[in-house]
Amino acid sequence: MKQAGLCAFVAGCAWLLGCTGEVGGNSGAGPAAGTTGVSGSGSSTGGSAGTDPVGGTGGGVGGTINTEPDKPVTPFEKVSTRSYLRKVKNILTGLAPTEEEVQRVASVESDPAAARNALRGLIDTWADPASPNFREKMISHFRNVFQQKGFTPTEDFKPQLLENAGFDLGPVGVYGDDAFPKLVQNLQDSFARTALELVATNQPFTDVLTTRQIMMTTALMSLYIQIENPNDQPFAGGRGGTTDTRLAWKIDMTGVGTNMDPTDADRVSPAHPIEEVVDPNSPNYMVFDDRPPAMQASSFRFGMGCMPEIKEERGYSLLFQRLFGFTPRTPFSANIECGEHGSLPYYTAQDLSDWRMVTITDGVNHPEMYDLPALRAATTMGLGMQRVSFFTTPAYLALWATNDSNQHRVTANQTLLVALGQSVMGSQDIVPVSTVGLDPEHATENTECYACHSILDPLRQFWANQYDFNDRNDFPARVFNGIANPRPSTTGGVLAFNNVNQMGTNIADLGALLKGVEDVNAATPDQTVNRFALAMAQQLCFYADSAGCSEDDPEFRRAVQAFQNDNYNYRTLLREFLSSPLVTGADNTLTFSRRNVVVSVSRRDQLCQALSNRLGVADICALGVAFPFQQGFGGTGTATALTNQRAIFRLAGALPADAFSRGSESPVTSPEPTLFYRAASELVCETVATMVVDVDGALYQSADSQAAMADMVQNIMGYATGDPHYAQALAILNDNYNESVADGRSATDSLRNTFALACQSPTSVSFGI
Amino acid sequence: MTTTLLTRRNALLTALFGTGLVGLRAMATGLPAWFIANPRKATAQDLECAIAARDNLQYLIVSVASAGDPINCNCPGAYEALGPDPAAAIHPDSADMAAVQLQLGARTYGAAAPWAMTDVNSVRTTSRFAATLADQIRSRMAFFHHVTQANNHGDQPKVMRLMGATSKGEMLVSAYAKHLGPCFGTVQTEPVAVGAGGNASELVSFAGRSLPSVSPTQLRQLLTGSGGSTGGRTGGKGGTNVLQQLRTIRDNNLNRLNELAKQDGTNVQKQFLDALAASQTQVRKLAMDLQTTLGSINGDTVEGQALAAAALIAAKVTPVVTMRIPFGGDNHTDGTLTNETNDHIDNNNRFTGVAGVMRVIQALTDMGLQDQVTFATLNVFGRNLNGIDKVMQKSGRDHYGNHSVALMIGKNVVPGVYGGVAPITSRGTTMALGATDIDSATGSAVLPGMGDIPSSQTPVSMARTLGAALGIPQSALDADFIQAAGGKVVPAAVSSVPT
Repeated sequence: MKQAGLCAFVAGCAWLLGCTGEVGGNSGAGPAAGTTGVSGSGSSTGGSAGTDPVGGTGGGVGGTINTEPDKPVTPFEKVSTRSYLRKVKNILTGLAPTEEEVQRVASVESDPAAARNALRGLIDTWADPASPNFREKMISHFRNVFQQKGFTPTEDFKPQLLENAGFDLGPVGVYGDDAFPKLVQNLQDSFARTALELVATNQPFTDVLTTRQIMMTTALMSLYIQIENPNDQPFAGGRGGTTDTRLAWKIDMTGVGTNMDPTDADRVSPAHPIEEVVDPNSPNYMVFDDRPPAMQASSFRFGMGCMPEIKEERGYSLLFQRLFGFTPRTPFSANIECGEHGSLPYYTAQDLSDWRMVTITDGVNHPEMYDLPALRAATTMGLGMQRVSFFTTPAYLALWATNDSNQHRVTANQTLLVALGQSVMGSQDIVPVSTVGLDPEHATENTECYACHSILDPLRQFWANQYDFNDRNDFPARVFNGIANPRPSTTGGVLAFNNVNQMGTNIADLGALLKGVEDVNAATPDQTVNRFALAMAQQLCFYADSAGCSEDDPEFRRAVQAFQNDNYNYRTLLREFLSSPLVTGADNTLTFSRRNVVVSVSRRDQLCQALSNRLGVADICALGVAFPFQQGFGGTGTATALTNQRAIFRLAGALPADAFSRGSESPVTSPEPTLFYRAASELVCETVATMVVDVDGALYQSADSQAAMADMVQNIMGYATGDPHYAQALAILNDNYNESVADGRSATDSLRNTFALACQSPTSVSFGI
Repeated sequence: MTTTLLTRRNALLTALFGTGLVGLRAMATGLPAWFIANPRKATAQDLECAIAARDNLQYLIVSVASAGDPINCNCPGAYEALGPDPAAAIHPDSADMAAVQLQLGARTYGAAAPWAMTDVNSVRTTSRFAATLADQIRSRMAFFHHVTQANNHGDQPKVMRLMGATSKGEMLVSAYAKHLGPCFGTVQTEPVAVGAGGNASELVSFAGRSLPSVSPTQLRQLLTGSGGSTGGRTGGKGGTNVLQQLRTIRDNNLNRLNELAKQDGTNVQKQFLDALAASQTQVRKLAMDLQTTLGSINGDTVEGQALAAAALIAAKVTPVVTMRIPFGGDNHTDGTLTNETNDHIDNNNRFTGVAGVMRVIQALTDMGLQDQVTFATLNVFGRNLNGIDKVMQKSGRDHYGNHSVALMIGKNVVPGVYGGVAPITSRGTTMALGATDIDSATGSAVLPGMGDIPSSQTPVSMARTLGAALGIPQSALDADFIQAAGGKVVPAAVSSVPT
C-alpha cells in the first residue's frame, strides 16, 4: 500500500500515473487540515499527509500564467495612474491615496521613469514597519507565504501534543476563557512576526531560511517545551510496571460544591498562584488550582460523582491542558468521577502577547513547561529538537502532518514549494550526492518513480532523522499496530535541486542549502537569480495581482535582482516590485502577453483590513478575536460572549481568503466576484454600517451627512478629490441618501444605507479598478 | 521552461481557476458546467452522463456523527442475531422503544418502535409529517450492517476514507461527488458540510483540501439576507434589517457607480464590473428562488440542516451534503439508556433520531426532490450491543468498531436489511455481537467465515452498494478504491447495478 503515493504526492511528479497509489492508510495522522477551527469556518486549503498526497490543484508560475483560462488574453491597455495608486496603497496599508499623493505621481506621469520614482518614494513611506497598518498587512501575507495557518488545532496537533491530552479536548471540547484560541493564534503568528521582525530590522530576508531566533510568547515557549516532554498521554506507557514514572502533580478540586455545580453556595475555589506552584518550599508546590473561568463561568461544571478534594494527577500532557484552561476528566478512565471542564487558565493575557525574539539553542536547557515565572524572563531556550526557520515550527508540522507511510515527504516537498516556489520534479537532470533514505521499493533506476524519489527521499531525511513520525522526539522502537520508528543513528540529509547538490549535517543546515539554489531558467547568465528571491517575488505577485508573474519576464527578473542585489532587503523588493508595471499595469510587459491585468475582488483579509484602517476601528471583522468556548460534536454551543463580533466574523468567514494548497506551486488567490462573494461582502458592508454611523466615537455622524459622504467617496471608495469621478460619485451617494430619506427612513438609516453603498462600490471591493 | 511543463501547468491552472462564472451559467441553464465551458469538447459519453444518466443518478445527503451514536443498537437487523442460541442485543426499556415488527420489502424485521414511523407517540410525528411520508420512506429504506474498525471519535475522517481503502485517501463522499458533480452540472463539485459546526472531525476534505463548513444559518444569512426589499428573511445580525429593505435603492445606485467606473475603464476592468453586476443579479435571483426554504431556517438544528441541504441541492450548488442527526450521542453514561431513547423518539422536539431522518425526506419531498436524492448515514463507529457490564445494566454503551449500520433511503434502494449481527467471539468479549459476514448474492447475514464478503470488508461493500444506489457505474467506482480494498456490491440492495 505504501509504495505509492510516495511519488504521487508532489505536483511535479503527479503525472507519473504508474506510481500512484496509497499513502497513509489508516495509520495516518488523522483528518486533513484546512480550517483554523478555533473560531468557526476557515478557508485555508491545507491538508495533512496522512491521506491524499497528491497536491490538490497544482499549478505553476513558470511560463504560462493565464489564471483565467476561460478568458482570452486581451490586448494590453494601460491602467490609469489613479487606479494603480488605489491598488498599491491598499496592498501596503489598506488605505486610499490622498490627492497630494496622487499628484506626486500624476504630475510627472508623462515621464514613466519619473512617475515610477515618485511611486517608489510613496511605497517607502507606506511600507513603514512601525506602522500598524503595514504590519497587519504583512503579518497576514507572511502567515500565508510560510504556510503557518490552516491547521485544525484540536485534530492536527494530536501527533505533536498527543491524543487525549494536549489540544485534544475530547467530546465536550470546552475550555475556560480565551487562552486556548489565543495560543492557537500565537502558533499561526509566530513565524509571520519573525519574518516581519527581520524586515523591520533590515536583516537579509534570506535569514527566514536559517533563523534560530523566533518570535514567541511565554505561552508559546511553554508549548514548544511540552512537545519535548515524555509521551505520557493517558493511554500511553510510562507507568513502568508497578512504578508510575509520569510527572506527579495535584489539582485542588475542593471547589466542588455539594451539588457539583458552580451555583452551589458552599463552593470555594482556592487560588494557587503559579509562583507558589513552582516553589518547592511552598505548601502548594505542584498543586494547581481549579477556579471558574472569568469569561464563561458556566463551563465550570464538574458533573457526575466528583468529590471535593485535592486530587492526584499524572503526566505533563494533562497538566499542559490545565495551563490553557482545560481541566481533564479525573480519573482518566471509564469510571469518571469528575468531568472535564473549563477552568481559569494559568496562562495570562500577558503570557499570550509578550512577543519577543527567542533564541533557540541545541541541547535541552529550559525551565519546566509549567514554570511560567522562569519562562516569562527567558529569551533563550535550549531544546532537544532542532528548531529552525519556518519548516520546523509546530504550526507548519501540524499542517503538513506526516505519518509512518508518508515519512516526511510531504513536509519536504512543501518546504521546497515555500522556499523555492517549485516542487520536486522528476524531469530534473541531477544525481543526488547520496541516496541514503531512498525508499527501497523505488531504488531502481529507470523506473517511473525513481526520479522523484531519488530527490525527495534523501531530502526528507533532514526531518526523518530528527523528528519521529509524530514530529516529536520519542522515536519509539516498538509500536502497536504501526511501523516502528527507532531513532536514526545519523542526522542530516541531501538537497539536490538545480545547482545545489549537497549534504547537510542536520536540519539547521537545510536553510543555507535552500538559500544557495539558483533559478535555472534564465535566458542569459546575467539574468540568473536566486530561486528563493524569485519565490518571494512570485508570492508577492499573487498577493498583489491575484495571479502569477511570468518568471521569464525581464521586468519580473529585474525586480528580483534588485531584491537580491540589495542583500535581500525585503523593503527593496516591495519598492521595486510594487512600483513595477507588473503591479501597476502602467506599461506592458511579457507577462501581459500571457494573462490579462487581473482585476480581483478584495478578499477577506484585504477587505476587512481596509475597512478597519479606513474607519479607524481595529479588527472590524473580528478576524483576530480569540473566541472563547466552543463545543464539540456539532458546535452547537450558544455562548453569548462577544455576540456582535461573532456575527460579523461569521459573515466575513464566507468571503474567500488567501490560501494555499498541498503540492501546488501557486497560492489560492481567487479573484472572482462570485455570488457568494457578492452576498457576503454586502452583508459585511451592511453590518459595518451599523458600527460606524451615529454611534459614539464613530467616524460618520448623520448630523453632518455632507462631510460624511465626502469622506466616504475619498476614503472608502478611493476617489481622491481631484479624481474626475469624484463629483459624480458624491452625487450618486447624495442621491442614495436623499432617496432613502424620501422612502421614510431616518437620517441615521439613510446615511448607513449610503455607507453600505460606498462600501460595496467597485473601487472598494476590488483591486484594480 | 519546457513545452511539456507548460502544458501540464496549464492544465493544473485550469483546474484551479478555470471555472470563472461557468458555474453560475450552469446553474442558470441547467446544463453541466463542463458543457458550457467548452461544448465542442463534449463527448457522446459526456452527454450520456448529462442527459440519459440523470434518471438514475442521485444527489446524496449523508448524516455523519463522530460521537458514534447508538443507531446500530435498535435498528432493523439488530434484533435477529445469527447463530445457535445467540445472545440478544440490549435495548432501552422505555415503551417508546419497544420492539415492533417492521416490514421492509418482502420481509419483516424486529426494530425499535420509532423505526416503524407509524406510532405517533413514539416518533412525535404529530402534525409534523405528511401522512404518506412513512410509507414513502419504508418503501426505499435499507439498513446495511458493517464494521468500521475505528474506536476513537477522532477517527471519523478515517472512517470517511474507509480506513485507508479509498484511492488516494479520498473521502468517500468526495469520491462520489467527483462522479456526480460534473454530471449534474453543479456550481461546485465539492461536498458541503452543513452540520459540522466547529467539530473538525466532521469536516469534509476533497482532494486533500479540507473544506469549510457552512452552517444553515450562515447560508440563510448569505442568501435570504440578500433577499432584497421584495421579501426574504431580514433577521440578519447587527441590525441590518432596514438596510436590507433599502437594497432596491442601493442596487440602482450601485449600478450607477459601476457605470461610472466603466466610463474610463479598460476592457478587462469593464469585464470585471459586468461580472460584479451579474453576481448581484444572481444573488437576488437565488434568494428569490430559495426564499421560502431558506427563510424557514431558524437555527443550525437538524431541521435547519435538512432545509439547507435540500436548498443546496435544489439550487444545484453541490452534489453531496453532509449533516448530522443525533441518535443518542456519546452515551457512555446513560442511565436506563434515556438519552438513547430520547434522541430516537425525538422527545425534545428537535428532530433527532428517526424524526430527523423523516425531516430530511420531508424537506426533499416539499421541493420535489424525493426521487433525485439518496440519504445515508456514516458514523465513526457503533456502540456495544451487549457483552459488557454497562450495556447489560442499561447504564450506557461504549465505542464499538465491530458494528455499525449505514441507513440508506433512496429511489434506487431496495428496502431490507443487508448483513446483520452475530456473536464474534474471536474478535471481542465472549458472545458479544458484531457485524456478520455477508453473502453478496442475497445480501443476507452469514456467520463469520461463511460469506464471500468477510465482515472486515463490509464497509467497502457498503460503499460500493451505496455508490450503485447513487447510479454511479461500477466501472467508475472501482477506481475509487485501492486494489486490496475488497468488498463487493450487494445487487439485492439496489434496483439495478449500473455498469
